[in-house]
Amino acid sequence: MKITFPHMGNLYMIAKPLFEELGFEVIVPPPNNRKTLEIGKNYSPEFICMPFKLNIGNFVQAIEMGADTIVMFGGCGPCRFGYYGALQKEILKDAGFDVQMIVIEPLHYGIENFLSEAGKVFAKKNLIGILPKIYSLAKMIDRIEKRVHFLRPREMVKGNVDRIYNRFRIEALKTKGIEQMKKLTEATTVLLDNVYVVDENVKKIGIVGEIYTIIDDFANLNIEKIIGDMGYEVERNLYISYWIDNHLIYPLLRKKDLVVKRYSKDIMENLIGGHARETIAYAKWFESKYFAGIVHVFPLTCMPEIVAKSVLADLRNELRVPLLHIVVDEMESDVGLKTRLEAFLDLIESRSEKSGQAKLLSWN
Amino acid sequence: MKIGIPNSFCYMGMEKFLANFLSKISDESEVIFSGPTTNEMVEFGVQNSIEEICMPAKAFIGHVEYLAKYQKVDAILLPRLTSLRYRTYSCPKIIGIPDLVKTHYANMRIISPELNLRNGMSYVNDFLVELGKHFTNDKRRLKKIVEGFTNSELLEYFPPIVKDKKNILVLGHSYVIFDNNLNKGILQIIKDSGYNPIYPLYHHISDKDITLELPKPFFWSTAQNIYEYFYWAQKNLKLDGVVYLMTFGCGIDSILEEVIRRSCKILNLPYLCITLDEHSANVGIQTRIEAFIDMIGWRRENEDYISTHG
Repeated sequence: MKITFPHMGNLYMIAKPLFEELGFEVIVPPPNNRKTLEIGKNYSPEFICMPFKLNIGNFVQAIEMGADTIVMFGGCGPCRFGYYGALQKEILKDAGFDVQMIVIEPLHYGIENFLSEAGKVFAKKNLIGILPKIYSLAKMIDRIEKRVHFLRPREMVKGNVDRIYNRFRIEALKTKGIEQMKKLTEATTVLLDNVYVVDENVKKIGIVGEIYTIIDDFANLNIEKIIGDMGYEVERNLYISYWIDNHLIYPLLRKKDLVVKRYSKDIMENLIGGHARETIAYAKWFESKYFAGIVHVFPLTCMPEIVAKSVLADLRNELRVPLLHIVVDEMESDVGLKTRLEAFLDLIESRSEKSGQAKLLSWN
Repeated sequence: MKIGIPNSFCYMGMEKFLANFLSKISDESEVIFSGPTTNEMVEFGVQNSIEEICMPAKAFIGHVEYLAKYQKVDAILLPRLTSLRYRTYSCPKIIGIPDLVKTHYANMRIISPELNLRNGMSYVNDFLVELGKHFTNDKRRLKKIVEGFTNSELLEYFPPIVKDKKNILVLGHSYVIFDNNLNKGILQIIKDSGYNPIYPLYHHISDKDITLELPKPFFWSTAQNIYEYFYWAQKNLKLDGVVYLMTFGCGIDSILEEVIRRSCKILNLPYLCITLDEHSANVGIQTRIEAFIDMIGWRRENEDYISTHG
């Protein structure tokens, strides 16, 4: 059984060692690129969100490389992601690809269903030993990403951090199993710690939005690098480990994200699916932490984020920070995005010069 | 107290239920409806909402604007429709629409009790109690009224007439099918061409034998209803064609339309998908429907004809 899975940013660094530990051969699809999206567009419904199209592209490219089993998550929530797996299965079957698709549905659809699907993947080895290791690996990888965001605007020799980070992402494909991956992350952490830093007072930009488009740097045209290269530190709310915490671990412990609980209270009390509530709550949280600006990224026609955008647009007068909405779709070009970001950052610059203090930013 | 209820979007078909309940619970309250969608409302809606949101939601904002501006209502009743059916959710935009209106109209009083039938129809009672609490403090009286009230239908639409032949199934969300401004009077156009339009309604057929053909049951209330009706209709009625009314920017339609198009292809049913948005014109839609109906007509005439030209 040659297993493959869709890309989402650095997800492959966690999924690949996990399946390898379970004793499967893993085929990682080529990193998201123009061709992936072109293939995905050909097979997908027109108005579906972009992650769906990228997923299909990943699957087709992986099948061409010899994969015969696809592992995908399902869902029962109001966001369209829950129906991805079921529809992708039909589309691949109609297009004549001979693959087995394992869609791991949540317990909502019955425990037998869950066990039979998940069992195909997870039954072989003892999960209790592997899962904590995977979890700590996910935390370490996210820490590297955060470190990269911190260092990019501060490094002495420009481009050093990106060189280390790119090498890390390529080397990760060559590792096998959790141990090797862990060693690689440790080595990369050491390299990043030794980057010379110019101690500057760097302004922070917060990124909120739909999880796929803010984690995957092809989907958002590498927005973090663009902002980082312009001399701003990027901080975002959603990481892969945050997703694991929020959707798998917190429900077991009956815990809730306190930021979301506190900052979305008056605006959006109920869950509406996706991460719309997190978007609003973290936008307010970033504001309270004196960030210089907030960028909201989501794919075209994303259902929950449209509500979030609408709410944020109405809150604009209450928020004391500039807010930029970026809608990504398959037509988006990096030049257009760069221009908009430059204009946005210019606005932040001029505002902070006028008032003298970044902390006193206000629309009035 | 004047309470406004918009006759649009997800609240379409519920007006009678809500108005009846309010009249029972409080004598002072007066219910005001926004009525059918007008061009002015669509204009209001387009101006007051963000561009990415779907067309019905824009029209809905227009209804709210109309109620606030012209009718001078004291409060607007916008229940939060988390779920309208067992084991399903509504669309995220429908669940979030009270929040959206609340932030847009910060000074307006908005009553939004939660209607969540995800765990069964009996939870209508919880909704009614929560709604009633805004109008009365007498808990015992409220309980009595709620218990007497729950037998009435939550959603009420004008049922379609089914004939023996010349039936065309019009699929789409109820707020598109019944809103003549959004769909440019498509039911009338079909009727004028001599065909009989039939359309899905809620709560119609028993859903026991149906969901099996889907790869996975839909987790949206409306999608599940539409698909079930489609499935039931193609088995039990004689259909000449299927018209899908898709609204631009609707997330559910992007998946449901694909599933239904695939089934129509397998069933060999003539199929037409019309995408509606604020720019769609009467004439364009009329032309497309007429062409579709002509095509069906030729198909019927030439059913037994096999070309000798090979």
